Amino acid sequence: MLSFTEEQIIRYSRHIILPEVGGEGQKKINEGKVLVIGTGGLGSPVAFYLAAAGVGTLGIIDDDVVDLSNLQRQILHSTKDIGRPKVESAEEKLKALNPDIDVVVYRERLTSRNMMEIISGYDVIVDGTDNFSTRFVTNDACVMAGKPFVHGGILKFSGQAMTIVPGEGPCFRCIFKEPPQQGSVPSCSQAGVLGVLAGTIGVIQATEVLKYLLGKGELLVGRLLTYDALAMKFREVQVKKNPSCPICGENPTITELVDYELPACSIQDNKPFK
Amino acid sequence: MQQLIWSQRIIERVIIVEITFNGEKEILDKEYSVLGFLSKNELSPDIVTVSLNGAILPKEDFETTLLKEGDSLDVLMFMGGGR
Ligand SMILES: [Zn+2]
Repeated sequence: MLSFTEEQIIRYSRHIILPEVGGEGQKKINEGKVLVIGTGGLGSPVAFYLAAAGVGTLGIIDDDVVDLSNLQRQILHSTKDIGRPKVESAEEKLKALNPDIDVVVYRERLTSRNMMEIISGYDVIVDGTDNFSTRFVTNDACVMAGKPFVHGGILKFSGQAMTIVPGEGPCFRCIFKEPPQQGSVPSCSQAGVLGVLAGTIGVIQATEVLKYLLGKGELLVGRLLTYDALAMKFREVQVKKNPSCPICGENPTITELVDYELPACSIQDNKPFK
Repeated sequence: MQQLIWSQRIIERVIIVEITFNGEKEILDKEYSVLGFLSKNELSPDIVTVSLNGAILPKEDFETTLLKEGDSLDVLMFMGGGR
């Protein structure tokens, strides 16, 4: 028996009217538990749209504070939030958008120590981190715990997204075996990013989460979707499970979670795609 | 005799290899290793992953793997979350 309040029926009416969603699908979304790692460029649109969609439990984790240079793309935060913890600013906007949901706030960094405990409470984990160590550890933890992990990345005028469903397709390490060498990775301010890319890729990640919760459609499993904003082209790169993957391969060499000592942020000035 | 050598030279000179790079056709006028091709495109091997004909190519093989006619090469980048 589906029990919606009158307000919920109106709030989610454009979902409920879709035959593929309906009342049952909306219930699945309302019961969904999603952890968004980072409330920056990607995390902002992901969390914003998932809150709007009514994802019942939305975990947000970030240890950073809002900086003026964030506001070009991190749409959960406003000018008045400069200096505030990002999770606090994010929680306020998410609750204002939809008081119907629980926002669980973690003002910390996700590491090998707190990872397993934190992700255990969620159905889906979303990658909105710029920290390569966090991304690799999260991938490993999701493979170990069998949790789906929706990867997203943006750089300059390019972006990419892929969904990792352990046991059903390749993981992040099947493609990127380990984080880039230290030193090959200068600061993010050097690389730059067109702010709107965070929206393009973040919304794709949020779409994947909703499809997973609904059990509808084809997920980006085994398909790395790449986006070139200048050419305005999407491309799909088929990727297979790598038998020699150190975490999900035939003879895994990673048997426990380990953090990497790496600088945060992305990549050197380089031509991303043609 | 002279003519034979001449035509051999021509054959040697027109090694043309057509590959697909990031989804688009590209014609190579000489033989490239994967490493050589990356450097021609100013892509540092440290920060990319290469998928060759649908399989991830181990970094150790970048130098010894030569690009052949019909190869499909995708260069995948590390990308952050826009923090
Ligand atoms: Zn793997």
